[in-house]
Amino acid sequence: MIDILLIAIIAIIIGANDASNVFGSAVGSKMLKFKISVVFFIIFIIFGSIINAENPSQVYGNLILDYPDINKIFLIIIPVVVITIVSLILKIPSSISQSVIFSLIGFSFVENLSINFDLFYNLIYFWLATPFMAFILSILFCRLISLIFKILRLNIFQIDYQIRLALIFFGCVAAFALGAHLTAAIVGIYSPFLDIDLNVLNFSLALNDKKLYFFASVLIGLGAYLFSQKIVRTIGSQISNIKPVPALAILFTQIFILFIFSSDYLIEALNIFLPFQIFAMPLSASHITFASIIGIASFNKFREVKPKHTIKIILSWIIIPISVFCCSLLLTSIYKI
Amino acid sequence: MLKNHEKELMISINLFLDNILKINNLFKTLLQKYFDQKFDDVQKVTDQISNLESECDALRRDVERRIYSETLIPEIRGDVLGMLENLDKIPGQIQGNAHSFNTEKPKVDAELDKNFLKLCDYASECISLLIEGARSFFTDKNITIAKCLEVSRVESKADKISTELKKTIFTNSENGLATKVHLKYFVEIMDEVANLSEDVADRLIISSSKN
Repeated sequence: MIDILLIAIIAIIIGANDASNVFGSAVGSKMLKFKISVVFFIIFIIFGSIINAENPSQVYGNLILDYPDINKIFLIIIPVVVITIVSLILKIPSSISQSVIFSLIGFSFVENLSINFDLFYNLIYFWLATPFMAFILSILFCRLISLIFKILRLNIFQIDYQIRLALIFFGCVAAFALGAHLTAAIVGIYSPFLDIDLNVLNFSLALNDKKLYFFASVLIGLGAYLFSQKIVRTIGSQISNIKPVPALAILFTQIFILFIFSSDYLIEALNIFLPFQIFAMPLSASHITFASIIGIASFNKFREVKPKHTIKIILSWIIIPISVFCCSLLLTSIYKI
Repeated sequence: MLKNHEKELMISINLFLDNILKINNLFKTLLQKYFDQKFDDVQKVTDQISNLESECDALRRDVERRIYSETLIPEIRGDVLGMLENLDKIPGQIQGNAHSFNTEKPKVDAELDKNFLKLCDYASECISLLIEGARSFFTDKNITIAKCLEVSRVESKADKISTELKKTIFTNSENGLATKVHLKYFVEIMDEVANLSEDVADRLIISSSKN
């Protein structure tokens, strides 16, 4: 029961926050009504989670070789919930997937579980690499979109119309791509237990992976519907300050990176060409968005970047995982006593 | 939810800019008719200018309302609205000038005719360049900047002619002070068209550089 409650809390928090990554620019610049954007968000987040969440979710099962007992999973989730709420209060975007992994590592240290350190190090490399990828890709996409509009010689009203359409269409695609990562971050930790029989208030509930992903994605949608309106408007207006073309470039960057690390087909295709192997893993949309914004800001020689705020966010990428790790270590140790 | 208004809006904006050009050309005709002392024709042209000016107002209001109500081009809405409002001052000024010629009928000496027409030509060139720049603002801002910089160059020429005209007016010993002041007023209101064009061009350069 406590697991379901914790999952629901995380899913609702994620829904409230991450809807802004997808439709923030469209709603903030009044190109799309909030209610319509939430409907699109819910529909595509559910599709994305059911179709693709299985791949990044497998990371959790592969990371810990002798996976913990399902009755102790709440010890991993509680630190994540606590740290996420604290970071929300401090208005710092946090990555749930990273928090879950570090909480799992902290838990495993105390419980003496075997950790697949090769996979863990690979995750760290890719987590460090994705913001750099986002930084470069956002610049490339921004230049590409501007070049296309220049070649097509469209007037500002035509550009406005095309951007509106693109923000809605690619917002839906981004929600689809994000669905896999968000759901994997929330319920991926349960992925080794594909068939769970839960007894909730005398009801027997048989959960398989698809039902679990559906359940989590619906809760994400609920979080977006109930609480994201204010965040979407605030974040949206911040994004729209960067103008619509860069907002579209940020959306393309999100889609590109999120799909690469969730779609089996793309991973197989890319692994043929790349000198290193990539694999499905849950990523943070907030980190990608932030790095993309910094990439766009490079056009103006970072004049619009607030140094204090930027340093705070970058530091949080180190402090949050360490905090979650320590909390998990502490909580599991106390529980063990 | 999402309608494509760009065609209707561009048609309205182009019509607005075309009307300014038409008013500009009509004023040249008016001035020629005035010097030829065809006052009936001057009245007709003044009426035509007034009608076109009212049309410009209606078009500008319609475009502004649609841009705001449909929340279009959010990032440069202010610049476009500012440009339209500033451009709309030009037909207003020309209409005022036409009415002044039509009602006050200043006594322009034959020696001044040539320079009055020259001043009108320069003001007219300023407007033509400005309209070209304004049209390009929606597609290529580099052209806008180039055209608007040319407006300043032509406006300087207009200033020189205006100064020359004032000198000629005040060195004429046959006219009384009232006539001289009256003629000076007409030089100033004609030069004002070029000045207004330069002001709008300066704003357009800033908007184009910003975006």
